Amino acid sequence: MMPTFSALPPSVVVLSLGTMVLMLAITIKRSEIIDAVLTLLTLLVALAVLPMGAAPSALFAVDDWHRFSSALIILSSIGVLAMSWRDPTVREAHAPDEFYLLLLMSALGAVLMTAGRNDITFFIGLETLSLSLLGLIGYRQHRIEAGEAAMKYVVLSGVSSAILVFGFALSYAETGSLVFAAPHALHPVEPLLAAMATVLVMTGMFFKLSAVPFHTWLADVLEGTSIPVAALLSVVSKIGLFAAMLRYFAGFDLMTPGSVSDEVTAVALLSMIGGNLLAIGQTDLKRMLAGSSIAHIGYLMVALLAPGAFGLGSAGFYLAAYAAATIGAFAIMEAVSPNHTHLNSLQGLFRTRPALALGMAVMMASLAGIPPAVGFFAKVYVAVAGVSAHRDLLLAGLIVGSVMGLFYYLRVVRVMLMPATDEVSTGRIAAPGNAVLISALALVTLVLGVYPSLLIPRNPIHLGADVEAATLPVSTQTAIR
Amino acid sequence: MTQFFNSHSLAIYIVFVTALLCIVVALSSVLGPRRVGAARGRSMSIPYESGILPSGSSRIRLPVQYYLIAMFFVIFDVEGVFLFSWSTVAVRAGWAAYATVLVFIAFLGVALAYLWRSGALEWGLRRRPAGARDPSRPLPGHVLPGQAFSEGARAP
Repeated sequence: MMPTFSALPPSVVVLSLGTMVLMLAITIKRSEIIDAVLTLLTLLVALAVLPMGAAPSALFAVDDWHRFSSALIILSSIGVLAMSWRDPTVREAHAPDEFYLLLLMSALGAVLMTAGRNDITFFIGLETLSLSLLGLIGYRQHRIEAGEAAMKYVVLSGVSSAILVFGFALSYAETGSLVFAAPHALHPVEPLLAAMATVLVMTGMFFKLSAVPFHTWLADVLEGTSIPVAALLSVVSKIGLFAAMLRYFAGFDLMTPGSVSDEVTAVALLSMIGGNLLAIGQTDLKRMLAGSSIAHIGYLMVALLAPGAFGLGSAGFYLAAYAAATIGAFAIMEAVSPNHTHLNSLQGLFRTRPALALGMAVMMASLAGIPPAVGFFAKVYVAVAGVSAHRDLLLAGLIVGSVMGLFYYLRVVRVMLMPATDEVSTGRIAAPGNAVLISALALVTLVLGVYPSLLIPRNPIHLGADVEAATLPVSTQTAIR
Repeated sequence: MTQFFNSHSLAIYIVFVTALLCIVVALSSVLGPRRVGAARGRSMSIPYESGILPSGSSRIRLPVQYYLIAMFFVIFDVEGVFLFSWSTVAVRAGWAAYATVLVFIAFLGVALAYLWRSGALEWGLRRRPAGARDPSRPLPGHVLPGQAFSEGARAP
């Protein structure tokens, strides 16, 4: 390995090289099998090199948190790859080759984001992810709803990036460094500037995370895209952003009441309640899962607001549980009917295709937080973190949100139990990749629900922010500690 | 008081900017001449009050290659920026940096080959990119290059 590259996280090197090799392969010969194999190979190698270290630098933090969240991102991307293999909706307007290229690039962006220790590395990762997601959302270019979704995404993504960069600029004006960390509210010369910088950066991130009140684009965008892209959008990009957000607040004392802490609390409460309210009224499964995803971001913020022994561990566990159940739900929708995602399409699924219906029931139980699925333990873990930090208001929101969530998650199960309609076709067999994916995710959801200790870190994870504190300018040392 | 001014310079700046803008807008609305009816004149409702008269419609469809070429120009222009900044320290940065630059150029070369092969560099009548599906239905907004310009010229 070249000395210049040694500071790059190894998985980023592998993913970049894989992107280029895939592009070269498409240039030489367009063949979907070659694309899919290359994508899978790149993702697997990137997963394999995750434990490797990198030279310490001020740009990348190659620590346990990066490894864990990158592993989740890469595994989710493999899930999306399995889902989109032989998906008819992906290839209806265009050759499918670029789909795999964009998929790999969005994984690269998300992985880069989890390692970003500098505003610039984070922003490059974020834009790589956003731009490739834009291509994926607009992939079915002749469909009017895909155009609408892509337009909404590009406008809101651009606006939120602008807000984010303005926040970085203010932060730079305040601290004189581009370290990716919230400027400390107590020490700086100008407290208002530091608070404004943090609030602007957070607003940009909330837009991309689609937390209430910045959530309005998510349901429309998910509805307009194909199912694999919807899964990618609601899992991979959220894991990447949330992982980065935890790193952003690693040195910030969120326990002291203040404008930043209050804003995050308000957004978390609004997301828990608003997301569930949005999902209750939906009859389209994709829109319902959009609401559910917003609510889960709210639950995750409880872990963000409860720093301490449980904070990072519970956030990681919750992200894993959320990713498995959400990708599983999307994969089952894909197997049932790729084009028709109305709630009716699931009617009578327990009679016609019992295995799929059972899988869907497991995923819904996990999202709702019903044992023995892993979602139950994830919620308990987050609640424990909240209790240990005395976040009573947030815990009340968590409970109210979960009760509201039960209604629409269980409604899916009820629709599946209803007698089958005549026009439901029973003959369609799930694509092999998708079938493997669904069974694997259902197994993971149940096994982790019974043995949650498999995913609980024995030692508390550290964000490794203070390793090279000595090499950074003096003014920033307080900010990252 | 001095302490307040020193520690809240940004807040004071915001207050002053807001106040100044309010004053400017309020003054121009109070003092500015107001024309209604016939006194308004035709020239008030055209884009450039004292410039050339606009002619034709602004809804011209440009060929999509125009945007593509513009984007490629930006992309490969940025390549030049990186190479120039490297060239100033080329000797001091050593072989490692040289290898990095070579990798960078190789990546761009692959990208260029991909663009060429996909037909993005074709100017003129559009050929289907290799591997793309046969267009059973033409895409909306697909206009031949010559046609677009002649339409614009014909508009009143």
